[in-house]
Amino acid sequence: MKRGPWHQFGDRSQNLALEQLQAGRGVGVVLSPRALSLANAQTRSAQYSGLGADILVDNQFYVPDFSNRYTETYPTEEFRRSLSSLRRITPAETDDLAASIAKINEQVGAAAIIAPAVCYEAGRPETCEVNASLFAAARQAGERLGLPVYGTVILGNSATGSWDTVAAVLDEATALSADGWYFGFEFMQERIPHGLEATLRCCMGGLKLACTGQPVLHAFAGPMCLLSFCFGATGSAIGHSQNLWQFSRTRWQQSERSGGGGNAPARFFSSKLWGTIVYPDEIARLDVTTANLVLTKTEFTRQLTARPPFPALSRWESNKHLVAILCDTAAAISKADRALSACAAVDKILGESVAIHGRIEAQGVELTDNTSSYQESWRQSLLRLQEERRQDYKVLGLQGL
Amino acid sequence: MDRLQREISALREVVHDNVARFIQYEFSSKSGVVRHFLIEDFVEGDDLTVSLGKPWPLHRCIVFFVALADGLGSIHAKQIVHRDLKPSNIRVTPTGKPVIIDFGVARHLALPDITKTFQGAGLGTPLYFAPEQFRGTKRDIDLRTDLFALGVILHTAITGTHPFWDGKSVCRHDLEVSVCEMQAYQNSPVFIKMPANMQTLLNWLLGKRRSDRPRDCQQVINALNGMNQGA
Repeated sequence: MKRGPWHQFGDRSQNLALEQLQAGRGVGVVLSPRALSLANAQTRSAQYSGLGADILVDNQFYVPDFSNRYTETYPTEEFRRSLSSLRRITPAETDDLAASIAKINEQVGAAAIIAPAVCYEAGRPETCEVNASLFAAARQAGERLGLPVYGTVILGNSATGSWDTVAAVLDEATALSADGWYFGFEFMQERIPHGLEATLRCCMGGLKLACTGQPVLHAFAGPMCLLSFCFGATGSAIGHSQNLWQFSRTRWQQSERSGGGGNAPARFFSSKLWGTIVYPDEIARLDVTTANLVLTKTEFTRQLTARPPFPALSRWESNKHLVAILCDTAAAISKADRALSACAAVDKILGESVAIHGRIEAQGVELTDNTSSYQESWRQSLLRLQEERRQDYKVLGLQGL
Repeated sequence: MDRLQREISALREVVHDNVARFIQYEFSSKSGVVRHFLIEDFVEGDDLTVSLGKPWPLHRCIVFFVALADGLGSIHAKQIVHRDLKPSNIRVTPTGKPVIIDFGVARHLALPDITKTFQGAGLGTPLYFAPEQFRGTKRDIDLRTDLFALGVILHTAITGTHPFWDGKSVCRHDLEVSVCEMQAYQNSPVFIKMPANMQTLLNWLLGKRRSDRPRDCQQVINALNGMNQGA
């Protein structure tokens, strides 16, 4: 698994991934059958590979019977069934599923196979059984193509409520003979999680997987990519879409809305804040020093100013700017030689963010959407992670990680 | 019987210097009672129990346990869990080489378990039980169960003492509580004085949960070899 940021976009964002790769951002792309047809996936993967990116396909069985016009173009479609039906999968069907997985991954030139999996749930041993049989099919496909196979560990919110339930799932999941892990954690309906305990459990889970010595890809990381390398991840999957910031089952629910946030003003993501600020509305209310500090520009936002006149910021520029910052920061942190060094680097970033948020607050500006609510919490989570999982970090150290 | 034959075939495929060669399987059926016999190659030497009792030098530990873990890894590669790894099931040849013997309660993880036990996962020797053998179900047994036993043996070799048993108590419940809930071995002067990496490895092997332990023997071997380079 290539080390660094991976692109993970949904529908209608494939050009954005291409543009970022052309600018040298990202080491790979995770494709989703939910978001693009197999034919399109083939075309796109060739473009991405041509730019040096590795390709992975997340089959997304998380809502196992979900189907749409894109998934229908993949040979795995007939296996998109209810959990109870997947439990009854026969050996002959396992062979067919393996063949389908192999076909998809071969066609897109995947660097490894991400095993299809349902979400792990607390007190539901059948989810472990189903995932073991789906993994067996993926393993068969991997052997056919000579590719490594990543075990998918997406922890559903029933499993993430306490460390005991997370650990019980990990006992089972890590029994799979995987060559790497594709890891996601479902938080409770938050776009950017701010709960200290939940963030801590997420990091502890990722750290536990990293201790297996196999590479971990932190899926659906979004702005949480800041934390990925602190718990020993090798890769962190990044997207601009808010419903890709943490794993969320709502992605598989049909929505009447067109999405995109309507006519709301574009948010500007600031690396200094490690959060968003509304441009120009909130920027305009800050003193010039703070405003300049907050405006960390990329090639997509060069025209923006801390003082009037305020050039317009489009939604797409804002998205591209966000991904660029996430990629650049994740890439920089991923260069840390050890997970503990990454922790130190991130502590510094979050500490500065908290200080700047304090400065903004002192100017009487309250940022919209509680965008300052999680930085201190993440910082405390990391401190507790290092304290409470000291043995895990020593184990990583034994492995030179 | 088919399941048993498949398990036997897997055992037959294990060919490794540190594992007793499986020779033959026989069974007899008298008065409705079926008995299974697994015949293994005779391994000259003593069992490991004879060599334990006094702390071993670090280098000896490393060399011996790298070989032992390598042998165990070859069994695990066939998806077989030994389930009764203990000093009396490890022969030490006259040249000092460890050889794992006695696959009487071993099982293939991909096949259903036919061993009858009165208590869930509790088959084997309690002194070397992992927590899941005391309190889990058969489903909870996997390759990492053997790694816990390996940790107990490694601790016994390097410190001269069992990590969870004082050598006196005969109460199974006390042992269970100690194995499943305690880490008092970490406070012993010998443990405190040992190299930090060995402490880390022992804590790793003796993790209460399966996911707290190394995933496979190769991780153990790598850790031990790392200490050898540092020694």
